[in-house]
Amino acid sequence: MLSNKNLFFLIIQAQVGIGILGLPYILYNDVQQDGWMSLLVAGVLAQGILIILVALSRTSPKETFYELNHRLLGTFLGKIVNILYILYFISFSLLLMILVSDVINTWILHRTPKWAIILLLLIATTYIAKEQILTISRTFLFFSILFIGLIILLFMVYPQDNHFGRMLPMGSKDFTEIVKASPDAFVSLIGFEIILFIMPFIKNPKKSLLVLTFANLFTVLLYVFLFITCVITFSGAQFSLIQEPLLYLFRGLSFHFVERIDIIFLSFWIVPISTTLVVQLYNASLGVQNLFAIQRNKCVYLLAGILLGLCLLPVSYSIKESLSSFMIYLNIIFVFIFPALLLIIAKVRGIKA
Amino acid sequence: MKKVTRKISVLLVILPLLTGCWDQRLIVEQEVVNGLSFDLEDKKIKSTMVVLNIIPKGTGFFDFKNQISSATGNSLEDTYRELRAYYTGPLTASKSRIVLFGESFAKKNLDAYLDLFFRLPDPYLGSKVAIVKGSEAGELFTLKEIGTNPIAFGLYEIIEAAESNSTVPIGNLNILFTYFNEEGKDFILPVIEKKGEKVAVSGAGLISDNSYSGKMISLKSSSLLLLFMDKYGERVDLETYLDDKKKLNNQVGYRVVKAKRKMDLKKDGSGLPVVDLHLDLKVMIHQYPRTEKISDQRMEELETLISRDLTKKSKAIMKQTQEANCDVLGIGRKLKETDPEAWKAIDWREAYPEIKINTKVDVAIEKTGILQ
Repeated sequence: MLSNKNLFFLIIQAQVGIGILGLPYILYNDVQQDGWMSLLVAGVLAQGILIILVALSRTSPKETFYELNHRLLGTFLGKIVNILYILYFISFSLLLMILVSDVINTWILHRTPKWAIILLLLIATTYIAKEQILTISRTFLFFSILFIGLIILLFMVYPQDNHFGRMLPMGSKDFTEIVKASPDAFVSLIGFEIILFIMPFIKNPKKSLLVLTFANLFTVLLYVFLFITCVITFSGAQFSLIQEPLLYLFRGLSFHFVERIDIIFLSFWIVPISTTLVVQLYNASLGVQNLFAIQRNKCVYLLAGILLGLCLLPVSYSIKESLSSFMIYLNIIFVFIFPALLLIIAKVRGIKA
Repeated sequence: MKKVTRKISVLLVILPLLTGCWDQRLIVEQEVVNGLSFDLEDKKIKSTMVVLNIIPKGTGFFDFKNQISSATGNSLEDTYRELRAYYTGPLTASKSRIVLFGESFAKKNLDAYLDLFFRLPDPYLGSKVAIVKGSEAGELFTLKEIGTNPIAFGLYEIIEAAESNSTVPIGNLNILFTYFNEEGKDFILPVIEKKGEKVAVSGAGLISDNSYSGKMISLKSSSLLLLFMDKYGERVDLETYLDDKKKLNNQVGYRVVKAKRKMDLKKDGSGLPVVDLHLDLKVMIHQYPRTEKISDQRMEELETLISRDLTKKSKAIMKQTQEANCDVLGIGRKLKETDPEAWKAIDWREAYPEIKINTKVDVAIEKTGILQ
């Protein structure tokens, strides 16, 4: 059973991943130095969704989301919805892997073929994802030490040549513009939907909302801190050029005995990125298990095989852009709109019963 | 048996992945570029690079040899192609220490030429950057060493020393990238000169709109400028004549212990900003022309004397920056941040030489060394 501590780290590991590398760049291009406001708006949005998700899974705490679907929507409709969810998780993982292999390819391993990077990534993630949720969460707890490393490194940027005035003028953008940019920030907060699937395994379900709130708060604050660090370090036109500001931030760092912190950092940051993948694989594998009634670890192998196959398709890389813009809407549909509808159905049925 | 075969087959799949054979770059095969320089020659770019070859000579002893080659072309990539042909292995700029610009090259818009340093993930952005005055930049590399350091390392250390002596602010390619793209702020680069067989930093070159203005702040004044920029190094030593006659041994020398700068922007009638710069210094006297007790009254006299002297000097420095059209203090940036409307209304490149900059320096003597 998952304790509160386990749950907290499970959620932040699910949230923080590849998105953190490019998030400040995307936000800056939308609303310049006011991007941190968009982040806060996205955080509030995520908090609202969290409340809905927890309320939904509390309607029957002993069932996972897939079983709930079956019960509430009937066997046929429930099956269709479950398949859609599995497809959503698969496409999310696919996009994630394409982005990871792209970043590693451009920053570190220029000549290594992408399939090799993806294969390595998949081997590692399947190895974790096939385990029980408790094992997964304990692994994540251990990996979370990397967040401390990230925060320390971010603080090390401060003694460098930076200028706090770059945060000014504050609030120069309209509120509507700031809200419009928040879906871009919201993408990087995705991951907490795992709560729909792990409710039956939580030791203390009543406290779960509180734990999730703290996890969400941590992630949002981490992003805000990162964004502010980037704004004060990069000058305006420079910031709008740098696609991975987090890495570029560390590229400028240099110590007496260690140089190229960016590459060292990225090599380690693959771990939090793959934890996001683990969570997606876990969610999807539960669905496959529900669908075909086979052992869950076999479902994970099956999914990993499918993902590898998809990545090997030559088209996968050309659809990167369209897939990532498509994903913004898919996230909102699958994480927000559909669970909200289901909650209404559950409530209506509950009243009837 | 089945388990064993499974394990072995898994191992066989994983093992080839562990070797990292696609991206291995052995250091022995690499030609590590230590220094780069760019000059302008007959309207073409002349790149010179120095590669350090280390020759082992028995245990613990080694000698080094600089391998220098240059090439001309229309772009950096053009010259790079030619340069590659001189060396046995692949060139890598991931360890370059120094990037030098010839005076004429520096007068071009630098940001457009240096793009490849920032666009690729490999080049090392900690390299120091300097402008070479008086000779071709590539010529500096022909000196074999500075002190006991190979030339590229020696130049790096000379500039590093200039930074801690507050001649120029801390700078490298990475910081340059930031200022290339900063609106309303210019920067300064160290200017180095070859003097016989030696190299020395001779001042801070004023960069205007990403190209060298040709003017520089001399070694004597640059520390004061750095104080006004709020970007001074570990040591700031200044000196003032005790009276107007510049005779021998008539200077008081002092070290800045604490400095506080204030920049206030006001508007005049025509909408142009008026800048009030105020510098509060706490100093320690470290050289006085006579070894005698400095009385309290004398101390006060000294404080007013130094304050007046520095105020006068700072006016001259600001004038110089305005003549070069180099807004090194970032007054434009401050205007942009505090009053975006006014910033949009004026063309800063044209406005900066015209604006009024008032400077004031207040000095308080805190210590007089270990003698009273």
